[in-house]
Amino acid sequence: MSKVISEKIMDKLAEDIKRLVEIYDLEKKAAFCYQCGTCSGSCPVFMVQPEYNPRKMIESLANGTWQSFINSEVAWMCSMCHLCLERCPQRIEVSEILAEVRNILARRGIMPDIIAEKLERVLKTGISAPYSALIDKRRARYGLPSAPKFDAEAAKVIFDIFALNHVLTAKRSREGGEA
Amino acid sequence: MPESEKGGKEEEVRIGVYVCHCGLNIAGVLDCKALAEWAAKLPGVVVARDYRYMCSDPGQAMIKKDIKEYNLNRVVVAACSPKMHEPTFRRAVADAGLNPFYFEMANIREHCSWCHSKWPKEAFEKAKDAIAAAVAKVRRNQALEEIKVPVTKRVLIIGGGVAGISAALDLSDMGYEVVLVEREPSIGGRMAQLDKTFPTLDCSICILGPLMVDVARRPNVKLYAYSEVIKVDGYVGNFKVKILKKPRYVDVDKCNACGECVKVCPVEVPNEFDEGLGWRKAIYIPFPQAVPAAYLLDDKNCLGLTPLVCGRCMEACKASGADAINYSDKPEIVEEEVGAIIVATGYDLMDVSQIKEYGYGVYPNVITALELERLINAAGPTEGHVIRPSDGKTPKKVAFIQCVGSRDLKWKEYCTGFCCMYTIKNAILLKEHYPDIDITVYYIDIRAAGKGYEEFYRRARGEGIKFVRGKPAEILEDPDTRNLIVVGEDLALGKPIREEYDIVVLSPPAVPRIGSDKLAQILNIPTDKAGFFLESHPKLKPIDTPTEGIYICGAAHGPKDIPYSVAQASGAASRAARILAQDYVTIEPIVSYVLPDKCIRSINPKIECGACAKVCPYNAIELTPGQPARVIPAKCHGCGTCVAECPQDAIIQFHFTDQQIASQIIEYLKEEPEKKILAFTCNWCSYAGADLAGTSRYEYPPDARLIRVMCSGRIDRDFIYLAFRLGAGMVLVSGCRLSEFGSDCHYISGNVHAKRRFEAYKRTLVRAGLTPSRLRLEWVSAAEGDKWAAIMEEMAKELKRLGPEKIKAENEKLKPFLDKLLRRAWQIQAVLKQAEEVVERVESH
Repeated sequence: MSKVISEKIMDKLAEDIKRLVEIYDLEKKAAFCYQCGTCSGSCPVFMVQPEYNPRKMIESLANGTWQSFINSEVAWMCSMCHLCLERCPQRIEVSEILAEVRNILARRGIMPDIIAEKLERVLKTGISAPYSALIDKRRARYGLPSAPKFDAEAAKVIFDIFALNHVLTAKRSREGGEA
Repeated sequence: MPESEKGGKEEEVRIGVYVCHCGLNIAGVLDCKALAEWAAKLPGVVVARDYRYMCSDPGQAMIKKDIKEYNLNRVVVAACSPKMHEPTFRRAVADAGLNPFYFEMANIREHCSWCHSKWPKEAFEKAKDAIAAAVAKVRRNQALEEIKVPVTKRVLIIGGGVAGISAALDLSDMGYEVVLVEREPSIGGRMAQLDKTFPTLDCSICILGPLMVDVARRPNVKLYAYSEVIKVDGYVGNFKVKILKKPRYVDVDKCNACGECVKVCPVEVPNEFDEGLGWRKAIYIPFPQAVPAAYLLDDKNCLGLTPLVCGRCMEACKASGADAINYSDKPEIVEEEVGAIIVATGYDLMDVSQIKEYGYGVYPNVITALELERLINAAGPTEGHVIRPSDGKTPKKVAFIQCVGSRDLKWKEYCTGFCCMYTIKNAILLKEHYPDIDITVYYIDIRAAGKGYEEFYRRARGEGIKFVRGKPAEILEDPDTRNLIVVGEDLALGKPIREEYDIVVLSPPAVPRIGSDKLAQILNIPTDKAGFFLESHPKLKPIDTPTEGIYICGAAHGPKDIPYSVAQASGAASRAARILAQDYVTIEPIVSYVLPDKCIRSINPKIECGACAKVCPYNAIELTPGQPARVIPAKCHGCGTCVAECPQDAIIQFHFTDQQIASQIIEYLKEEPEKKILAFTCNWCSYAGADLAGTSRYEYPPDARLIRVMCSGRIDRDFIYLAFRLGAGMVLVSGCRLSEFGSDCHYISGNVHAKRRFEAYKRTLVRAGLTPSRLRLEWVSAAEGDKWAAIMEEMAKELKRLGPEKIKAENEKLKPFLDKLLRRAWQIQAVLKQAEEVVERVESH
């Protein structure tokens, strides 16, 4: 993914983030964050990849210095286990807030290539991981039947409902435009 | 104007009205001279003057001179807020020989000139109304005398920890008799459990022990250990207390603490004093320095309390020659009379096994700070050797975790405050015992705000104790070694933590001592959100409770360390002595009074009405079967909630009677009532909030006319009916804040009743055709001047939107209905009749 976002997009993002701040009442909620490190200490991603630090992200949202983290792959590393949300002593919905940040980025077509690739694969085949005979072999070892067939048509319906096509189009046109 | 022209009935009332310029503060907006000239024509007014500064000595002298010269018997000063100078003028009036309650103030500064400078004409009308209402009220004012009640010169102290002991010693030194009640078998409290104390590392029991012995030995201290307060009646200066003495089965006087009984007792149970880490017998002494220094028999664990089942302790005791054991000991209830009460019940630690991430109660080597205190204490179960509960080995690597449940919205929102310091102390002690030990303290913030505390923290760092900023997310256990793995983030480095420790010590939140809620009910004093006893005022009355004569100290009021608890105990002792030093206590006479022959209980003794007693937050109303209800003046705080509640109108509140308030309403709504907003405000919050709006110079439209009552609980539905019957444009009811977080009411719960009543009469009125926006309820605190101004702005806008014609038409329709509702209100009817007479007289004249 390109690490540089044009100023125009940054401006639009700034508006979106401002709205996010309002929707989640972030100024209030994130302002309550006293930086204890319970979220990061709980985070399974942080344990192996300390660049991903939910505590720092909440801090940067609270004080308005979020540009650096949304412009990197870090924003996409959350595993959505919600331990941070469960354990936060100030009841800040860390994982939910960060998911909303990713939604905003995606709407502008900003996402790592690997995410876009997966989306496209789901659109085409109905599953995110490419099928291979190896999968059935492994399943057989555990006494499982071979993998069910996936319905690409059903995936399209889901794409329509969640406007995921728009996300992909945005990503393509953004890269086309910037290239 | 000659007196005779103003009508017959007011002949005896001679009022002087004084309009203050307050420099240009009032005179800059209002024509004070014109106000005085206008006031001179009001019925009953003999003299009216204006002056630059009424509160100055010449101003006061002017009033005193006039009282003599014109034979005045009532005085009204139109000036600033009564919260400012009412006491000044009351004193001046009293100096001239008048009863101070024959004085009223009209607020034309904070509520008028300071906030309506944009509308000078309307402001002038508002000022006129304020003066007219004050004159109408003062005419009906009664002379009141302060209430005096005698004082029992003894004090009850509940809780024999360091706070209770300190307060007891202070009061005993002052010569007062002290009744000290302790629920546990020995006094000493939490401090007796501790090893050393921060920041100077004194041995806890070495400094507390002598005080324990001293307090028990004093002839003017009556100690009830292993006893509980079960009932408290009475009021300041005159409390009657019932104390339950639990059976000890050992005669304290005969027991010589030889310990022969313990040797033969076959029952072993975990020792509570050692936080369950050690063992004790069924017959035991909690700790060697216990006071009273006597054993007791735990009847829940004894095999049978009879020689038929066991009886070995009794035999041993007899053999030793003491013969102190008595299996047929019974609970006993004793009564004591005291003049003041000090609550010093202390704290418990929250059960942190609820916090699953840290595994307390599951992993044996996760312990609490208080458990560590017992382990490291030479008198503790391990004789001062710190061991791992899993295998008895000495730990080499220890972690302390701070804020385990404190500062956490999921558990306790507040900071417990003393954990940082005791953790530092415990870490230093561990280093002293085991110089090679590796200690890490995990913290969010170190709070070392106390004398010598920061220095103590520095000392710990100097001794090689590691401090890591970051609250661990969880503790894992290695099932083989029973070692603990602390998982989290090192905030300073931004790096993950995964460290193994032999033992982990948690710092749990301090919570109110078990049973505090029950004691709060017995004493009828409020608790805060966390359950600690609530002070009367956070700044100016931090030791008083809202109930006069009851004081709090130590951790019963909120988590507190030893120096602070002892200081507060001395404060509580001095607050209590303030009562005990007097032969009588005086009480402001604005109390309630039940008119005996109007009370339904005397009209029809079969009816057991207790509506008044039910709403009284101070248990000040006595209900004797077959007798009318009776207000105990010394217990009454004068909120007036019962007055508004009485369905018979049988209760009056002195200085705020229905007649006095109704006369203000009538006066305010004499002219163009449909253009006015009648606002009922409580003295402590809303009236003060409106004052603040003026002091802050918030400009808002001058449509409101304010009536001050002590509490929103005093606001009778009949006042609202009367206001609309007389054609009021809008009515506002306001009081101290009430929200899901609790009530800020100065009288505990007056606003709760105000709200309940409001909802009922609003429903009635809206059903009868009232536009809902014409009747409003708002909570305005004394700090919310801006909110008051905003409400006024909104209401004025709505008043304009509705328009006088619509309001008039609506009122006309409501009239018969309101007349019907008001027929029952005999006090208001009486005022209405008098008002009619005056109008008739004036018209016929």
